[in-house]
Amino acid sequence: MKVPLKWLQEYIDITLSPSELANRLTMAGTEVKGIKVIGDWESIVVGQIIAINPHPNADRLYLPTVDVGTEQLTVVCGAPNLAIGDKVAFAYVGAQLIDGHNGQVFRLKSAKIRGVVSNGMVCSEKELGISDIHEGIMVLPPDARVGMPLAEYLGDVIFDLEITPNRPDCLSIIGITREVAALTRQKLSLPEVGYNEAALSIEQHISVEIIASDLCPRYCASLVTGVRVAESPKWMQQRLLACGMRPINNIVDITNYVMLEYGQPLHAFDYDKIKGKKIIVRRAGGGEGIVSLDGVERVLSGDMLVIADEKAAVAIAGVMGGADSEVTEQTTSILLEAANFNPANIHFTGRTLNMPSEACMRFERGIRPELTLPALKRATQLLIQLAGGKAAKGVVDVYPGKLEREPVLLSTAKLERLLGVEFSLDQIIEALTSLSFECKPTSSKSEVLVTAPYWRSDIHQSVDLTEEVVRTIGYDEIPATMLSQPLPRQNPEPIISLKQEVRHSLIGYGFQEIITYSLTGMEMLNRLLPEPHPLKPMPLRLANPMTADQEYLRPNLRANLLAALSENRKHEDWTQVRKIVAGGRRFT
Amino acid sequence: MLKQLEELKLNALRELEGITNAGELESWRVRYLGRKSELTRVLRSLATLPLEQRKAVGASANEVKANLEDSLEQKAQALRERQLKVSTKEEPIDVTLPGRYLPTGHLHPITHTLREICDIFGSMGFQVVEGPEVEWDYYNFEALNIPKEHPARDTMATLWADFETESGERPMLLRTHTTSVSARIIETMQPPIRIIVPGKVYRYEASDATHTPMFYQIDGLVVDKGITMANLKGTLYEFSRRFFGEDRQVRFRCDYFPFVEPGAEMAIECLVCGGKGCRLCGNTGWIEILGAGMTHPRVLERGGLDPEVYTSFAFGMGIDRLPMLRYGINDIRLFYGSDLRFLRQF
Repeated sequence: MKVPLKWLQEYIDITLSPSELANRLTMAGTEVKGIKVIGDWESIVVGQIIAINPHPNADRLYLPTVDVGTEQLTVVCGAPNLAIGDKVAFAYVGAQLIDGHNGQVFRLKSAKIRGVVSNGMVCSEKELGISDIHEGIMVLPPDARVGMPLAEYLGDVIFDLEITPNRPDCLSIIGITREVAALTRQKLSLPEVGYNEAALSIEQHISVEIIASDLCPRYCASLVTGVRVAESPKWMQQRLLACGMRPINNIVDITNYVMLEYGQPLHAFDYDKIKGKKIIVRRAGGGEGIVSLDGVERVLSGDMLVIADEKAAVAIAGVMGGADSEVTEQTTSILLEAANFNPANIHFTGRTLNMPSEACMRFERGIRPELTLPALKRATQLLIQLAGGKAAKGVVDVYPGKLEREPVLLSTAKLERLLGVEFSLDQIIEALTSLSFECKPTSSKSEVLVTAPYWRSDIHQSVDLTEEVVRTIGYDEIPATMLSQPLPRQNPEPIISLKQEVRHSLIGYGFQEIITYSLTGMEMLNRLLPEPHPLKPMPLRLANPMTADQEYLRPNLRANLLAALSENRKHEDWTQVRKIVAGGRRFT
Repeated sequence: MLKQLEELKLNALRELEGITNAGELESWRVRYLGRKSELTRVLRSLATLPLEQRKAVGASANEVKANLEDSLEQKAQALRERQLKVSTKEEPIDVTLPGRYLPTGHLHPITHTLREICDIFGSMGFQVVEGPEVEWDYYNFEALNIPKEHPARDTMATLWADFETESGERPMLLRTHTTSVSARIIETMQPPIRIIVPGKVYRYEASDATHTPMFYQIDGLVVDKGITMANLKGTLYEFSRRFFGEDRQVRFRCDYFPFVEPGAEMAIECLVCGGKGCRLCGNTGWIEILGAGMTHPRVLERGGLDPEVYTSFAFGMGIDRLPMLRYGINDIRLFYGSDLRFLRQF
């Protein structure tokens, strides 16, 4: 997962250098595969255009004056979109830029253009290396502070994280922030969510029924009316792009943005296209079809879960929405879904339909049902803020799969028994608390009752807590001790040493050892037979061979040896004796 | 003078006939052809003779010398032949003949590597165990805490045997890791257990410079009372010290595998850049060597062992990468391509 540093910094103060932060995360289980620095600009600052004069000797050139805080500079510029008051990226002489015409990197020099000296440049996105746009200069949002280095304003560091399958909660910016908070023992501040609601309650607009409650523990929905579908704001688009997602429109972008932020996939339906104003969560009827958002007609099996209205399926649950209920430019009312689905079922559906998606990946790894509501409220808030809608009163929350979290008893002795190093109860509680685990003291001074925070789906027994403690304190604290138990009795299998001896003897006789694939093809096997007749017995076949020449498990190694001979004839002198030996299994 | 020479020749030839061994022949040569011989004296005195005599005596002396030299050579040859006849009659093997060149072959670099690793762990009391390559889904996945539809299955693309049960399930596969053998050992062996499992594993993966559908792994398993994560770290650090060398930095970090908890990964400082970051290590400075951890209590329970009594650690590593790093081989396919020009180098 791609995580921009600036997004993290919105929820937590990060004083560590990017490489030290990467190191801490990696050591604690979230591997940082790469660190990409965006915008290592020098001598480029935020400026504001305060005057525009025509060029005395050219019709198409202008002389904008730019305030860069410490001074005001006049340059020659040919961009058609210059406007007084706009914030722009201003490059001093000496800045490194990209030539808008030939794409080459160059260093900006002072130049006389048609008789007027230009001491600097107002830049396009292409010249800054941000995008390919070169039709005009880049206009920065009004909040950009004049004189601020552009790298500070627009630059970012993108971490590429490898999230292990047990941590779906970390497939989110907030999840990663929680990790950072624990590893640096800091507090985090999450976005404040709140919005005004309309008078009419949501129940009067929509009802939700979960029939397949075994596959859908929770279904939450909100309704926002009067939205205007348009482009989402630049900052949101930039964040989506930085995280590897394509901006589409403000509605879809908000669902994706909140998924990245909270880790809870959301889906926006065009409310007016939901027939009967009823959502039904049920298994697909065998052979039931749906046209998914990508325009492909899908045939579903009876094991798959769908979100349906009164008439038909409107989405393949957790995998992809349907084209019929898609948000379009005409859409004015949004039914927003935040639900929880059975991980194995979503995995099965995604795999069977071959539709891997960001949503699918999160559901199949088992995100918690508690996550639905906070994410739904956050997305609803953004819909109101950015798409100008009004929320119906309340949310729908059908929650048949509610489970109480069982506390787990952890003792210092249990920890030491597994780790080989002693931690005090205080150390244990401190580590777990930093991860937001709830620690309840017991009557014993060496035991504590621990409840995992609601977003964690991977904590079931004391070994899970043991890992949490030691990864937060640091794996470097585990000593390296040699095994000291008595040696177990050895019962070596004679065949293992015999194989080794045979191999060695043959090498002594001049044989070259080769290792060959155990998989082979029917054509090769048939060529071993003296005359064409069916192979008996049939060798073991693979159900999903990659290629026809790797379809069967070899019944012997003859084909491998002959193939090796023929391969080497191209460059070996076969008038000399050559000896090769292949060890390995035959499958009969 | 000429008469004298003729006499000398006749005497010499007569004496030569009676010679029967190499020693006598050598003293004969010294007497008649050596630096102090009569013949040499005659040849040296030529300069003092009057001109007409000098010519005749010189020619005659040279003729005698050539004659004696030829005879010597013939005699020597005759003696050698007679000696050979005698010695072959006495001892039929000629111990003086040079030996015939018999080139030895070479073990495969993977075999070398496996042997080295098994030796290192062998010295720590690990016993080598092998298991089937065509495996049940149960031992490869279920027993290791990876049920059907578990996302970890996606990371190990599986080749399935074409065999279905009545309910339409495919229970057999080509093992995706040697950990399947550890699952069998937990079920069949009584602790204390200390084993190492080398072998081939298979994945549904197209070949390229770093992937092949078949490759090698080694798994390790220790089950006993009182086994700790410190023991795991100690064992793996000792392996690294002996395989990669004393000075190679080692990193032991948290990682996830369904069959262990806590889980870990061991990496070594990059062999190319020494930790500064380069292309080989993806700019991280570290090269991942193996996954490890404390065997999950559910895995022990499933194999019939009580996790309250026994603790256990396990580790698994890919082998092919090790000779690639050590010898600077940049294409894994060379291992399985049987090209003798490549394999003869090891």
